[in-house]
Amino acid sequence: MILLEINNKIVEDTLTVKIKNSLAGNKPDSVNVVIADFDGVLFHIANPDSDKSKVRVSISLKFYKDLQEHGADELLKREYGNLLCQAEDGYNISLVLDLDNIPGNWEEIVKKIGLLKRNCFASVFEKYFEFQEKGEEGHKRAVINYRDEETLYIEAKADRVTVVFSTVFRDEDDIVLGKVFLQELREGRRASHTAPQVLFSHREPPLELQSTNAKIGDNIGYITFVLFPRHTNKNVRENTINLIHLFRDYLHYHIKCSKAYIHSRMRAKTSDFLKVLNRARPEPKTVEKKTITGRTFIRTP
Amino acid sequence: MSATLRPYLSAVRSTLEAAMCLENFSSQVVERHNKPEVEVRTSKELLLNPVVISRNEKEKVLIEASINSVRISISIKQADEIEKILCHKFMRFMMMRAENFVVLRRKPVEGYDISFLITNFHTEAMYKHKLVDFVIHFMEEIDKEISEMKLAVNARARVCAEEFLKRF
Repeated sequence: MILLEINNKIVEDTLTVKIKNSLAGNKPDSVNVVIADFDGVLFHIANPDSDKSKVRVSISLKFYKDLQEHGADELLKREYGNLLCQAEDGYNISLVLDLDNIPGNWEEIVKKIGLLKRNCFASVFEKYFEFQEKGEEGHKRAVINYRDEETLYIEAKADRVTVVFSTVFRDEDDIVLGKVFLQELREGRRASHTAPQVLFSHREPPLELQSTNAKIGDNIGYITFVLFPRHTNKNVRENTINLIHLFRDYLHYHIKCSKAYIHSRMRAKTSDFLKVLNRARPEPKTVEKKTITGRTFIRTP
Repeated sequence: MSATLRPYLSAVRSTLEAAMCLENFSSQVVERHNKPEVEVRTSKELLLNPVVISRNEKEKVLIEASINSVRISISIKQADEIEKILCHKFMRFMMMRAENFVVLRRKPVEGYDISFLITNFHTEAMYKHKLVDFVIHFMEEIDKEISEMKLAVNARARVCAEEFLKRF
């Protein structure tokens, strides 16, 4: 449970049920589910034009326009091929599964659809990893507003790719907890030699972003990952993308988890204190006494 | 227990035992009022000299006694930012449950983190020595709990960072 899953379990499960149902020869029934994912992503699973033999999976990303600039469309075409169809209204991408004609490798396809959000993100990373591999410099830095007020910057140099996350801590306490986590991340390189370098600056953007209109504020943190060719080469690229695109969610998830843990401890301790305080109360003296036959025993004064 | 903690706590205990000498006392200014004098402060002659017992700059206890009530304010050590928020959270959490705690004041006295108000009605309904025990127990445990929570947060952060970076 420490690492977040990159696929969307609900999407996968819903589709698996549909397909199994259809493989078993049952009549397909209608489906209409809206699923939320990290970073304000919405999935919508429904039957297009109320045709129950087809299932359409749509995804909406607020920042899809930013991704499109970096070749998201091509990557999705490569990954999903003929599953792609005209995007549903209000959504960015739609895939259609035909339940009357299920291919043998449906499990793979379902897995792939579960990774839809990840694949949307992947394009921009792949593009810049490619630049780095070819040693091309001077490309414009990619800017993706993946959440309101939070931005992702990617820049390729000949020898490295830098990925900068800006993240907003909505709660004051989150800033402090976030600092603890990021401090550990910075020092975490000792645990593993292959890990990328992580830099962290609070309030002000790192030097390379100083000229841009990156926000400055008490509740903003900037996290920089410096990825070297050992992270961006073709063999490990997929893994790097898997990890890094969920980093922001991972960080915030664990901040929330620690807060929940602190809370449960406080609850336990408070009830412990209450117990000690209640020991100060003398026990009630007027206990009803019963005789052996069940009658109430009252001592006459 | 460290060398300075024991005399600190025993000083608090003796002071509290002495201050816990309370009696029912109706207000001599407003008719039919019976309020804790240490809070309303209507007449000077009913208040005793407040006592501050301090272990160091940050950890101290203020004991204000009066004829019918005693107010104990505790300042808890907060070495760094994280201890500060943990302490703040914990105290707020407890004070929101003040009605269960009976002797807990809903707001701390200024300059302190948490305050208790013990009136003559409390000492009549409960054992005095056990009330003193409670305050001492609270002081012992609170430091321990906060440093344990801090350790837990740090440990979690380390594990998270390592797990994440190990995957690369």
